[in-house]
Amino acid sequence: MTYMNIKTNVLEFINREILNNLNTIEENQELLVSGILDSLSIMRVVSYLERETGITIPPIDIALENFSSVNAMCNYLDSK
Amino acid sequence: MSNHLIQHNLARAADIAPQGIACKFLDTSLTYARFESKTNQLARLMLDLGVGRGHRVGIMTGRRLEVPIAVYAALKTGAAFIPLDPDMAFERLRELMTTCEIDVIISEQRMQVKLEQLAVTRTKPLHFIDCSDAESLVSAQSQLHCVVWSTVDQFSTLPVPEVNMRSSDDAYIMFTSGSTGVPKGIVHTHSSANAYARLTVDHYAITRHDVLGAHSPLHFDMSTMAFLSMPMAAGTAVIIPDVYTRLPASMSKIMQDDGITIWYSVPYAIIQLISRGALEARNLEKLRWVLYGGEPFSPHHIRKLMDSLPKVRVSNVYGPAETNQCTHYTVPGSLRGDEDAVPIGTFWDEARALIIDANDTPVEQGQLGELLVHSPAMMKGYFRQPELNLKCFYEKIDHGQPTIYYRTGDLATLGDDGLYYYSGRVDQQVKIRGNRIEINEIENIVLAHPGVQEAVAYAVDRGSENERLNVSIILSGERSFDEVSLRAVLASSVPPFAMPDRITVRPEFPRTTSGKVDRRLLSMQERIE
Repeated sequence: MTYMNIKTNVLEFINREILNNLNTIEENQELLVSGILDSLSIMRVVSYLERETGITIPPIDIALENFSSVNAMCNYLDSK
Repeated sequence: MSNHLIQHNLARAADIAPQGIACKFLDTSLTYARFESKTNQLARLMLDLGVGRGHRVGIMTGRRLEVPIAVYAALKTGAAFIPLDPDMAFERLRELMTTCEIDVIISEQRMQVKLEQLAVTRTKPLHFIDCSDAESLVSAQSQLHCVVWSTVDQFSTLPVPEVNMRSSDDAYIMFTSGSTGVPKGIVHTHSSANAYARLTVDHYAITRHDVLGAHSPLHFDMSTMAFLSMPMAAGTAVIIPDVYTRLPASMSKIMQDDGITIWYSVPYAIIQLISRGALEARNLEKLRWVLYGGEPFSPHHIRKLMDSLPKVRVSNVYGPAETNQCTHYTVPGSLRGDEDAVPIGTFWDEARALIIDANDTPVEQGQLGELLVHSPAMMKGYFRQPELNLKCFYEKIDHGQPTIYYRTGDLATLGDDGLYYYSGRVDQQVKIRGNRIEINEIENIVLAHPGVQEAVAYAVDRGSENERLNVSIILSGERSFDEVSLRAVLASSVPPFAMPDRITVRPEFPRTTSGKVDRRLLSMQERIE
């Protein structure tokens, strides 16, 4: 099963719920080093992904390579 | 009279441990030998730009390897360095740059727009040394003179000619929130800085084999252990990248992979490590001490920390930025977790403490009063604030000698156990995730906004990851209230951590019998709604 199909939903969630539509991000856009997602936002995105996919994301997986962009998040979910 | 300068510690470390690692950032390490020569080069570049004794150099960057290089290079020229928070509101930054007469700033390419805006307001050029490795920098703004980092390599690595300076010279100035809205600059000298370094190296038995997890950014006074204590001991400072401070599992991986032996941070970062840092999956056998400071850490969380790292000593570090750390206390293994608080403990042998009442009279043993501190590691005073300096110090004659104490504004008691206990503030200062906020300052800004009659700011979810500031207001008349414009005003005047999370409008506040706002009740009510 691929999670690329939830990509649009994730983008919408981040743009609407986290960035309040003041900024919009794209699927390739770097979100962590740039500071676009802060500590609390990262936690909210993780909760959202867990709800959407039913996958439990262990804390140890919440790392740069898995969450640096929406694409990275979907690749990570595919690998689970 | 000793003329021990901070940079002498670096020279000594380079002499006795040239191949020892001075600092590390991700995969890049700097040996003491290399650190010494790099700082010599950068110091020569700064001297070329006109920096010298009595000057002040700005350092405005995220966490990176170039930070300690900039620190020691500035000191070698005889100048003091001013750490500047890259997220600082523009107006505040402009004011600080002017007040401190900063003509040279080490910063990053991503700050260039801000620096150009600053340059426009100046009559003299601003020299911007970019440490973020841009290949070339062009500024449309003629008052901004950009220097790329590779320029540093054009300068000699030989030691800079000794500047005729004293240990009483200013070394660095840390700015913090002020109740009238004017930031206060805490001036530390080479003397107070070295005293701090000696006391901590001695007390924590820091050696060249120690590796510090340096979480704090430079503009936070907790950075002193990384840039002062570690070079004195010729130990290693591992700089935690900004992004990893938001990813606790990555932070714990660095703790493991870099063999961190001492961790020093605000409680907030430790809570993140415990709850989301996957500590159980890491090999942290090298970790011997966790130091926390900046704000109280609940015994409940300390117990959880001790349970997840049973072999590690946990210690409380107390001391306002004005005095540096002044007490020490190692939490006993017998801590249950349901205690009210952990003591701040014992003052350094070389320090003195007084607990006084509102009339400056020492209180009876066990009674609550304001804590006054004398320490060799204390500040010289606030930068160019003669009136504040008259008020914040207290002189006492001890054995015929005058001793200067700093009025901390903290309430404390001396317990029967001989330990000191912290008991809140005299004024309305709070801390959000370790950052100092003067409540009055936020309230004054909100009060100045059209339609606002009364405003109360308060912290919610104290001691948790979600610690934040909320504001409640009473409007005058029937006016509706423009939250967007109020937030815009706040954003341009206060640091990001002081931005209120929620602004609620209320018809009335709960009040005490004397008519004052009952802040505790208000914040409790707001939490329930």
